Amino acid sequence: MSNHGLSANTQIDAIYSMMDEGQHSVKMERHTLLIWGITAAILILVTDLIFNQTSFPIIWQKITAQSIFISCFLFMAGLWDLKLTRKVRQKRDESLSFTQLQLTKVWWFFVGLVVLLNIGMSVFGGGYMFYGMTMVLIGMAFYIQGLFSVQLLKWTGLMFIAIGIASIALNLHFLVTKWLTAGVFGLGLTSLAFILDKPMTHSTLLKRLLLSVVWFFIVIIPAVLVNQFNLNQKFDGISSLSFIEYKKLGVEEASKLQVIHFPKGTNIPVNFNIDADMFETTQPGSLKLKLTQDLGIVIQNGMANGYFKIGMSDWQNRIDHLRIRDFKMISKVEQIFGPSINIDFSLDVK
Amino acid sequence: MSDNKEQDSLDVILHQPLRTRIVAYLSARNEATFTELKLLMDVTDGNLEAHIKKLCAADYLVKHKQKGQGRPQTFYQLTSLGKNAFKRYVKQLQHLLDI
Repeated sequence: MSNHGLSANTQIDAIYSMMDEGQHSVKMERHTLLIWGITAAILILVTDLIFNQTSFPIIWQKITAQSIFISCFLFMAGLWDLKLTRKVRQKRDESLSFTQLQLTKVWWFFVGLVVLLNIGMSVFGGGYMFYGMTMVLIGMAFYIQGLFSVQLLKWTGLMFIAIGIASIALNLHFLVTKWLTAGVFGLGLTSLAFILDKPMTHSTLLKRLLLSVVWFFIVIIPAVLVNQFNLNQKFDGISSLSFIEYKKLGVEEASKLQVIHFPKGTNIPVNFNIDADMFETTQPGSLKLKLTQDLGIVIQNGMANGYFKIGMSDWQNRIDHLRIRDFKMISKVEQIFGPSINIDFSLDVK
Repeated sequence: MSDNKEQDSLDVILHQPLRTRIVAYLSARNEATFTELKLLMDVTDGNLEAHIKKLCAADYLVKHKQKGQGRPQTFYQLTSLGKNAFKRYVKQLQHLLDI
């Protein structure tokens, strides 16, 4: 009796332990992290260079070409990963569990969602959130993978989500967010690949926090360097011209590097051309926005190079990445004024 | 007295530590190779083989081979008979322990 009783207890413990082991047996291979980390980093850094306003002036052509390129690149990475995983597993005489196969499908859903998000944001706007959202989505995929695998992946998922949300909430410069995302994937997943097989089961919360801090500092290196490079760009030594003086310059002189100064109160015309499915534009519109602070714009080769200075602040860089928020569109028909459409939004330049 | 009856009816195939662990692991993981089981259980080839043979003989376990690029891999999987026997066994143990 006591033998049986004791045995029952031990057996139940063994069963729970083995079932737990079986449920958390999904292994992520080192090469998986390397392949996906490097692929994502390359895509992040290269896509905008290939597919831009200059190479594809028509927006739908740009979106189509970009989406095909990204999808093919990701598909090739996925195939390569699957082939290597099968090869490695067979070499070690290990199986691909049922859960792992289901998780692979979950990963493809998340990767597909990122591609769709890219298309959606290219068409409907909000592109400045793309990298942040990508980190959040991939973080969710890592967290789900971690539920059936090692704790480290769950932790990684949470880090991805936290960095993604922070990049949007802190209104980081688009270029900085881009390099941050490239760092998170390229350096973050690569470094993770080398500690993935280390036993972490008994690591304390403090040890994990410490490891997370080290990992965080590694992944932000590219973003910090880009930010530092931007901040280090000083144009204070260059003579500042008024716009009237600039207009008087000859072609050769005007193409030199210079700063044009626009004093507070200057009216800046904002030209807009709206295309709509049930309207046609009769004439392009123009609004005049008045500067509330002094503005210095750097001109290089006769064009603004993206650097500007507001008041006494540091030099900043922003090329084609303005943020539109609080967008509101109200259409109404008034008895006196007739039909009208009012569009309101706030524009973040800084 | 009734406890004794319950214990007597415990499945003799499953009521062995190593076999219990094998079946519990496979019930959660669906299938595994010999090497995976051996590494996890930390036992010798001969010991594991003997217990797997017993489980197969009782129709609790089935093996299937999968051909790939290299040598074929052998996978072990619980049969529906094995799954039901394991469920019954766990219930009996829980009943014994008043869980």
